[in-house]
Amino acid sequence: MIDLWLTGLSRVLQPDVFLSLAAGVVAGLVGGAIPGITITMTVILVLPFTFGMDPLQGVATLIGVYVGGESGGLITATLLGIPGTASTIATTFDAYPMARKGEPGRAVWLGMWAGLLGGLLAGIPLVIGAVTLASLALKFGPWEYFSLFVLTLSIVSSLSEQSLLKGLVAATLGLLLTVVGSDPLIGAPRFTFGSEYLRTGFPFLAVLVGVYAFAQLMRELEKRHEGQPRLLAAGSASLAISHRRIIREVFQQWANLLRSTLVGLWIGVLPAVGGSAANILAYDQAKKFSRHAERFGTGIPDGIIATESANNANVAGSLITMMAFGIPGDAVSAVMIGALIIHGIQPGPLFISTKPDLAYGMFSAYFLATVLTVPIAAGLLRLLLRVVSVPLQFLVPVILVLGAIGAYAINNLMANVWTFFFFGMLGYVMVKCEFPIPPLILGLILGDQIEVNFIRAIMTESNPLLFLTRPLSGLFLILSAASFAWGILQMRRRAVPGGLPAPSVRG
Amino acid sequence: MGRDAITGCLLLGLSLWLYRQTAEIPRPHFVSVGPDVYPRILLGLLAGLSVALLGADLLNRGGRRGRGGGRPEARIHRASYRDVFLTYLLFGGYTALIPILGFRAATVSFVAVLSWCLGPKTVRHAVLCLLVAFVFVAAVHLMFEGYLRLLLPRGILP
Repeated sequence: MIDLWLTGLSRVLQPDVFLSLAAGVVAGLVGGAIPGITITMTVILVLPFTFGMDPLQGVATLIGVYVGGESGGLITATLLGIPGTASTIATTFDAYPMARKGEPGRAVWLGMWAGLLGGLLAGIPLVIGAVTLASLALKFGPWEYFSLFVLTLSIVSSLSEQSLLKGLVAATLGLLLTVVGSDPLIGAPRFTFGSEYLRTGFPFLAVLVGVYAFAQLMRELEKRHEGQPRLLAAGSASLAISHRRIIREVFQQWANLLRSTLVGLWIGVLPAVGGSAANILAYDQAKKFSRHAERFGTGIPDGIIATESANNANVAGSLITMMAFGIPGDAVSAVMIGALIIHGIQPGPLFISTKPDLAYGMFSAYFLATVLTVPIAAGLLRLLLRVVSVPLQFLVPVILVLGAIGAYAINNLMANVWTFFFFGMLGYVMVKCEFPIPPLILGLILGDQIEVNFIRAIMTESNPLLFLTRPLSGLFLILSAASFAWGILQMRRRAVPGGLPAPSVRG
Repeated sequence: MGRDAITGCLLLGLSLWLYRQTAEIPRPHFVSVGPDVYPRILLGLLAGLSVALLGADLLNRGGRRGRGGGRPEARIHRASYRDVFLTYLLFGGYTALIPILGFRAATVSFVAVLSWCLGPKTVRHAVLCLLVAFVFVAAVHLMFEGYLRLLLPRGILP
């Protein structure tokens, strides 16, 4: 194992990979800092730049974006009072008041250092968890895989903000999109309507970029007439602080740090739940365990440390699920799965054992990106304050063109750009009709695997009861049923006036 | 009928139409489970969910009417929808123009026109839009064609 570590680390430290990783962190910090540009969108925009790279260099770049993006959102949350990304919603609760009280530097760096420590702490379970779970998953038969994927879809659908029913419809639509084209077992054409382009099915990335990035951008366009908050004393705010004092302050709250890291990690492991839930839940837990809960929201360090350590730990959790099972922990890892597939690598239980150099390279890239974020952010902080004020009228066309290039570059076909455009419209319509996007994306990613394992299971043994009677498969299906029941219960409680708020399940 | 009910009807129609299309899928004799089985299961599921969506909307509307109020819609500026519509329209035109004008000319036009349409209508802003468009396209060209060796689309015009 040490040999694998050293090999992975030495590959990541090679100048080409290292520079790409650092560039990814910069892109993540910038993308995360700009309100309305999510980390997923940033990863999607950076993706075409990785097509010409070797797999590790490409994935290391995307990991850099992912890790850097979490910290980029913190800057906007602190200085603008609006979350740069969905995963910094709760960060604003205390970071912005602290900045307004005249301590913007302290607020930003408490978050940065807490993020670094949370990210490093979560890195240990990332390595152990991914390797252990992947070796466990190697013992699965098609029944277990099928039931695990059903469980994944049911969790995502039942946690949907809008409604369980709409979550299920979105997931089913995602699954249906994958049946277009040649069937995965014998290559028979399905729903191609005579089109050669459709014989290979919809290109996953063109659909993803359209349904997610295009639609998200249009939502931002809608909101821009609501007025942009002004940057908090962008020119004059003093961001200079004593890092030693800040680090001591973070360590003094070791219990908060540890608990929030675990919360972030756990939420990250859950498929497609995303950083926003980790951020809010960690804040909530920190408040519940605090002796001065009444001071939360007034600009105290506890809230910032909890939310930012949970955010970075959430990245590690997502990578565990992605590397062990090939299931995305959130929308960002969904794009990364697409990137791996484009590079000819199928993520899943066999990934770590068949491509150990790449897997351990990814672990090393994660640790390195987490460490690099702090000095890069320190160097770029003033620049970032300027970047966040770039007007949306310039961002929209630039992002759309980069999205179009990303779609085109998959296999140099203009038809992919039309697919991007079509799914951009579909995604917007879905958002306007309050259908959640994450279940659709997950259905799109898991569709082929669900079908292959379902057919294999039936062909191996025609008795469908095996899905229930095989212990692990049965357990997964029982958990799926429980997840649906929980979703229905939450819907009913939400329907009661003054009931629960909707949970945040975003990409 | 509410928006969910209409969506339910549309999805039900789509699932029934696609279900009919599954008859066209070739089914070889050497496989016990044909390539049409899985899509049929999914389409059956979608049809069921569509009916549930339709039913839930009709029931909820009755309940809401009974309580004397609907769901408050977020107030969105009319100009916002105009911007969204314009963006889709221009992007559709841009996609159609790339094979004719080529990537560079089409992208300069698209970026300059869209950023001008979305911003203030002043000469200064127009000049800035053109500048941004040229710099962006030059940077993309250098990065993709120069460094990454990715050939961007050429047009049919000389």
